[in-house]
Amino acid sequence: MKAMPGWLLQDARYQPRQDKDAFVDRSILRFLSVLSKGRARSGRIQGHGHTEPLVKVLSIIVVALLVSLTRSPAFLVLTATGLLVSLAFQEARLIARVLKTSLAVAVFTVLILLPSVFWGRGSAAVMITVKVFLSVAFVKLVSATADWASISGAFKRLGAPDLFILVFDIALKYITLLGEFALSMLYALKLRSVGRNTGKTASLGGIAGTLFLKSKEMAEDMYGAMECRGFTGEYRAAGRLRLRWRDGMVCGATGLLIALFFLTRAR
Amino acid sequence: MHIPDNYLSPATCAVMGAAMVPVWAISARKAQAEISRAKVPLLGIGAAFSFLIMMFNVPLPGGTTGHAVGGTLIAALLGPWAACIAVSVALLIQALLFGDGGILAFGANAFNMAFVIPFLGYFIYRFIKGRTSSPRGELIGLGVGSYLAINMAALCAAIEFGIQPAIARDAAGLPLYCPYPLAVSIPAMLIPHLVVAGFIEVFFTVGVFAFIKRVSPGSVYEGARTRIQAIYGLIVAFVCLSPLGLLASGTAWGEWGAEEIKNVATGGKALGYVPTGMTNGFSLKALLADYTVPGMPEWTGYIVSAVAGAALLVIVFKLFGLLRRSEVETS
Repeated sequence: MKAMPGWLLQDARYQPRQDKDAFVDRSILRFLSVLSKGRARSGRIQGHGHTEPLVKVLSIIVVALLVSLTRSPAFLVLTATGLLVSLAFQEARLIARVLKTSLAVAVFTVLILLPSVFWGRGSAAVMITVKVFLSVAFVKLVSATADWASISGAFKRLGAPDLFILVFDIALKYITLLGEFALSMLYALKLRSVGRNTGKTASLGGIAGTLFLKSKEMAEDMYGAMECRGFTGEYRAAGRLRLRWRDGMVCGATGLLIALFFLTRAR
Repeated sequence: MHIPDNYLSPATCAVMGAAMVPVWAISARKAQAEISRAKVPLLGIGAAFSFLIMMFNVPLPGGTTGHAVGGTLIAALLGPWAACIAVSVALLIQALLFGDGGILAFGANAFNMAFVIPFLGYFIYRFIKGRTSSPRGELIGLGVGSYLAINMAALCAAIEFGIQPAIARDAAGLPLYCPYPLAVSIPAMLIPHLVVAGFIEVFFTVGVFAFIKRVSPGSVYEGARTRIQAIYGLIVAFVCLSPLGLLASGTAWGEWGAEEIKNVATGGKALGYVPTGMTNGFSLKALLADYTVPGMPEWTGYIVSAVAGAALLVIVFKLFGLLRRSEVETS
């Protein structure tokens, strides 16, 4: 039997030097948060009942338009009341999510508009902030109460070109898929860096490059698979449009807002 | 009964606010412990009820107006601690958004309407209910409790008004804040409440309680059937009827604006001056001051205010419930 080589018997005192990989951690966390949001959304409809997404998307376009056009504070108060009522019927978590986004945007708007307050145009700054808050809150409310598939269905019913829907649909699916792929690559980079790895930034470029190549490959595979299954680039909305009393109420409320817009403008 | 800013001296406001801080702290803790998770949104509905009930102004003898509060009702449904929180939040929203009741006087208003009414009313209600076995005894207890509680609150408000001339005067010897002594404020506040407003409170309290007990017993007794739609229906009915509150045209006693108070006649004699504390005191320009929307007819403004206030309270308490849930998860 051969004797054990000397180097194997020596005590190894390898202390890896402290590595700086905060940016990798940050990217990992960022990817994780986006992915978990994407997963939470897929296929699940939150909130009370189910309003036809087409009705919601249409109303939101009308409301955003009216809010941006109006010059009457009274109309903004009325729209805000409408927002409060629609929020009051939602689940607490959803309310918190809607308010978090819209208040953050409103605070940001205030910061941007701060100079105009110093120049004595405070009222305009308040109006714009309220308008931004209302529009964002309504859009967030719609997006939080509808799943992606039904929103792309609503786009189809609105007559959006098929290519647009294809891009919208595939982008949403692939954000999740490619995100997962990038996440595994980031983990691999972290695991394989022992001690101080100065070439990490360069590897990050590699990750981006690989991701691009991978996405191209996946896209070709998927389109091939879709063609095999008879996809001709044409989308059809599944099922007939069925309107319920809830949709009627949303339409009624939007109609009321349109009427109020002209009433408050006349004064 | 909503005391506006500049009617009470800053010292009185500070004392009343300081008195309410421990009450709020204990109420928040007790309410959390007592109310089951499923009932937390009911707190918001209770606050919305109180908010709407306070919008129904009725004309009172002497040319002023008054309103019910509904504190005993919420205390009977959800317990006095929860009622204290619910009415306090309703008062806060009234003060900030609608300019009803002062910001500085918030402590005093909360003491009168969110502390005295729910606790006294609830105590009397339990006392009478415990001594009778018939279901009618429960309603009688509720009626007596709510009547005595709102009058006690009116008395507290009258005392807070009435001590002002004694504790705050300017160099000329004129009162700085509320100009009426106890001899004027107590009868002015108490007689209308004893004669009219107290019965309005009894009407709302017993009526709404009996309705909720019939259609949704689960809101009163743990484990029974809850029908939240019926309660929402009641709120919608209140919102639609809220412009009735505009029929009473006078200003409530002790809630005049700085210009108005000069011409208020007491015992056939107008006051004739504006107390200096009121002319240059603190005042907040509320968004929907006096429940009106700028540039819209009065009654629409009133309905919009009712809807916005009620919805806001429901949202606020739903978010409270969320806070509480995450506390449970982390502990």
